Amino acid sequence: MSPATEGDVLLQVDDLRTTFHTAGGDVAAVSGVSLTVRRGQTVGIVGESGSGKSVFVRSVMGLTGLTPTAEVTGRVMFDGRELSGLRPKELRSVWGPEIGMIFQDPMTSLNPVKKIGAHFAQPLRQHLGLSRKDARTRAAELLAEVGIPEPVRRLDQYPHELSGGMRQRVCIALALACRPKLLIADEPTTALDVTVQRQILDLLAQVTADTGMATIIITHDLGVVARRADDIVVMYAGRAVETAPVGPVFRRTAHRYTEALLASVPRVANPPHTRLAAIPGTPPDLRRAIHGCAFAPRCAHADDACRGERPLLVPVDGDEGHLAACVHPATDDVPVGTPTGGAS
Amino acid sequence: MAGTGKGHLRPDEAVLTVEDLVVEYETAAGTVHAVSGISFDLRAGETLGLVGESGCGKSSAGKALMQLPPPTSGTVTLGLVELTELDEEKLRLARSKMQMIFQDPISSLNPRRRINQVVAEPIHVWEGKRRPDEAERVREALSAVGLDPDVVWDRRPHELSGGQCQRVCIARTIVMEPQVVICDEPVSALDVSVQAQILNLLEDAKERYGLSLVFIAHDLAVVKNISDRVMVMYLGKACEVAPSDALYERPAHPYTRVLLASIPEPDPDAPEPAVEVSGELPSPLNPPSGCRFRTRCPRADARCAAEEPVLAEVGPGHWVACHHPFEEPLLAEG
Repeated sequence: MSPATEGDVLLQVDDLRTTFHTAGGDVAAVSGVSLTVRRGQTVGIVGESGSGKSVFVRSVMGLTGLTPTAEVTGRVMFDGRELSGLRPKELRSVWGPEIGMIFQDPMTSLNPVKKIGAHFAQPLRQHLGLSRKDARTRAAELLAEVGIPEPVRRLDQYPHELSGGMRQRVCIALALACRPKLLIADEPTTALDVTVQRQILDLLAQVTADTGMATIIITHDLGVVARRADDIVVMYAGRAVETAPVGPVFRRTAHRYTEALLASVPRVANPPHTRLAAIPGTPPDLRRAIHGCAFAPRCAHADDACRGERPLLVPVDGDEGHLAACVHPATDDVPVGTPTGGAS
Repeated sequence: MAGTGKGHLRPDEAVLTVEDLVVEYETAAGTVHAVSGISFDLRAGETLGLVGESGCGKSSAGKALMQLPPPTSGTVTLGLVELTELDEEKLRLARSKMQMIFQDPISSLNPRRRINQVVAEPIHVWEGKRRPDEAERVREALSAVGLDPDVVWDRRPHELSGGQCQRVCIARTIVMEPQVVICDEPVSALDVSVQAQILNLLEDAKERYGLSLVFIAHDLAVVKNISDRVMVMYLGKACEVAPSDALYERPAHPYTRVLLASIPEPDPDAPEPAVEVSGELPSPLNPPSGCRFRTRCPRADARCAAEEPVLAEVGPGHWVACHHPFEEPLLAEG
């Protein structure tokens, strides 16, 4: 962990709520999530499908402004500017030069009828004002930076001529083109094979270190962020349920959902036919109002107190950096075996 | 033919034996060599994991077992019956003993059918529509996969979650009480918490119905948890076959080691082995000569390009096709 100094905040999100007004009723996709990202920091947002992690970052960027049914409230401060309330037209100067984004599927994020080089024209010429010739040179440099062999030849190829891993490298090069202060990577390796995933994660770590960029990695896979994030936010049913530096999330897990999620992951160290600790049931329907803790119906530790009021994020064992919204956090358990104190 | 060896087969005890399986597809760009001569077998009650990255041929192999379509060459013997030689009607009857579960549970269910019709379909296909015990068997199969028959009976697939749909697919499979079930990436479309439910369910169903499983997946941690034996594939070839414990403790093939080292463990304190590989999968249109992994392998030399390695035994039941196999464990103790 490398906690940057206080006051070095790049992105501050307060109580963000996103609701989609659909024919089937209002869907509360994000219900009150706050987030702080400091300069140069890597934050992992972890959650399963429907947890609201992708909608949250899209709302932060203002991309939900392109969806007429979406209603976003809350405050987003980025690098001293307020982004909340700005219209998509006004946000164009932010998307790309200030905040870069890469998505899960590198095929659909590239235009299939445009050559690789043409994808770089817009960011480099429009935002940075480079000439056509300079843009081409710079694009080749960017491709080389992300480890693409024969970068000049690639400029004249179409996306379908590249493999999935190469396309994701192109997307990263594009996101880096204007040297943004923040990179948002939404499931950047989910569509890729494990060996390629490892290469892409190593590349992301290297470019963030080289450029001093802050990064938000959104993933369903705790393994992807375990060694690579400074802070972790665990989301469930549109809420942040636990947020802390990466160490405490894994070593002093507080929220019962985080605990159950970690327990349900099959580990390589398990002997064959190990019975997995599955979480019973399914996540709640976000069209219905949720009373109390959203995880209570699936939680082995839930009681009436959990079904009453929605639990707030509070410090775990007095640690202001480690917050959990759990009535019966795992850190309250009496430690079994080692009586070496520490946990109160 | 450039076979990768059959020394690892156990002829007397297998319910399913696959020999020299070749799957090739003709395309406008040329012949795709999806599977190029793999052999394996499956004992009663055993789970064999087929693992590898996209393009390694694991799904093509799984479909070829089902004769969907039949392999280009090679034999698939289920019990005493050689499937590749059967005519259409005999194959149809023989196939009731071998069933398949697919990756996307929602698209593998007919959206217009009700759940009870989906699960009864195999009975209609193989035994006719007037079985007096049909409803009872469907109810039993649904209960066995943890669904309440009264609740889901008249539902349609879109009313269920992905995990529930995968349960329906498993119910549809076990209603015929098959000998062998081929599971092609059955949990990769599911969330982690639901994935654990389905993996536990597969273990239960295997126990209760005496199934043998071929479990195809790209996720090595999942495969380790469910398999007795694992076969690692790369570009249509078998690299290594071993009991799961041995494979994960002492991976001998350089590619197996790369795969294992690439797993992102959800533990910031777990050791992170170095990955010594670069580049990407060569095209299956024109696979490399000799060992197909040599173009990315840190240990490759002239021999690897000239001579294809054959599976050789390096430990009890542990076979590897490599000229320069590793002998030391993946992680040093302590």
